[in-house]
Amino acid sequence: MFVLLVANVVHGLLALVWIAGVQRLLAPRSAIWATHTLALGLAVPVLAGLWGLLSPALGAEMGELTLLRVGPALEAARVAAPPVAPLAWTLLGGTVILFVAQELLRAVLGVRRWQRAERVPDPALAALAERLVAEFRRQGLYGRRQRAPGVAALDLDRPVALLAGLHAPTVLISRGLVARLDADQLEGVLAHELAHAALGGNRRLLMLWLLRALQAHSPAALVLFRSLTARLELACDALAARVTGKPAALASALMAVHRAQPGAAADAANAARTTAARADRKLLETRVRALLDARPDAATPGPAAVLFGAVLLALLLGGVR
Amino acid sequence: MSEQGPIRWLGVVAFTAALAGGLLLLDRGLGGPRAHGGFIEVPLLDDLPTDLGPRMSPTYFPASLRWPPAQIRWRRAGGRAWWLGISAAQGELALWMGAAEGPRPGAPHEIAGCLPAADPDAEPCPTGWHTHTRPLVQGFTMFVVTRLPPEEAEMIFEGLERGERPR
Repeated sequence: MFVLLVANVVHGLLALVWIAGVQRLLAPRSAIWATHTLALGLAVPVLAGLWGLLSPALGAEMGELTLLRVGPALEAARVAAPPVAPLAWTLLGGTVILFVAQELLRAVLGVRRWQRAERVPDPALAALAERLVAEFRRQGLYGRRQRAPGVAALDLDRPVALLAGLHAPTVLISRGLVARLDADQLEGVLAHELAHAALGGNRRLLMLWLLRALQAHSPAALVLFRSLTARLELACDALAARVTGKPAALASALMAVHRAQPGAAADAANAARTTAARADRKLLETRVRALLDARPDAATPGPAAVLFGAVLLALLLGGVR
Repeated sequence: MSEQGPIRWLGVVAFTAALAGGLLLLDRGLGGPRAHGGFIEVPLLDDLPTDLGPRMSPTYFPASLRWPPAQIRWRRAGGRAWWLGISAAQGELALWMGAAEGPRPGAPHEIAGCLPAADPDAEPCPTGWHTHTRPLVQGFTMFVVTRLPPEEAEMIFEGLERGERPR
């Protein structure tokens, strides 16, 4: 079990190095590209772990082809420095605690906060969404058979905009947010949420989150998942800007939403001290800069490129067991 | 494949190969060469897969030998086999015991020439080493290959026969 967990961490770290190298070699690439590569970084270590478990039973040892023998290396480290094992357990356990405190609880509490609010049909929002969906379809960003998400207003004063639901997704925008944005900003925010649906929506996010949860002990999976969620926001911004043609309006909407968050002023004061607040601010700055400074790039990798990358990474990680 | 051309993708392939090479160098540099003949080397007896044929526990073991085994190797491809290399108190290997299946059972390269029906390319059996064998169930053969005195080796072998337990 211990070897399996450590092997998964090694797989994740290798995936991080590989992704960093690939992104540098293929740069410049869009944020959508980055989300696909990071998703590979989350999925392939799980497959490599399964392969490590099942391959002896299938009579398919890699023999001389094994690149890195994690078990013997770990055993040698244990003999050379006995504290290695307790230190490694502490690291793995600490990462699980981080996952529970910062990701699991945050996700559950975040959903509960808006779930109590009443959903109200909003014809104006629905008409705007219909026009945007038509533009998504015209640009080939929604599949032919893909059902467009529904749209509803949330009877909530706090500024909230999100894509909710797995099977029948709905974009929810709070009345508090609608009141704070002008028409162009609202269009940008709505397009951003519709872009989430175009990029797989909550189903894809749930699958990625489950892969993350399976590797709750892995610091590499933590970095990969957080990078992926940040890149996903950038990717949705890029798609929204492409569809609306108004990146500056979306950038100003992001700033307006941030300023309207309860405790935003306190957050700003604490930003230098709190890691989470610092990360949020950094992401906001990156998103605004990406929208204003550069032309948002919404290029999507083809399935052949993704498959090729997956095979290369699987060959590399499959040799570590 | 990509709008940026295949040359960059060749770079990605080269980068992946370089990473693999680096891992291989690191592993072989720190962990030594892999056992020959398709054998997998594992650190613990518990790491031996359970489907490698009958497992024996020694009921007699001279004080001059060290337990646990210094070398634990197994393979499936080319005939299932497991071997334990036992070292003497001075540290050098003095005895190999194991079980292997098939008409040409596989053994670690150090003693491959000591087995009956040894591969013609196998290294010759080291001087002073001798082999005890007995057929087991399911086409397996039990082996003790050692440089210990024949009477002591015989006692170990008989002890192994008593400690045989099917897996």
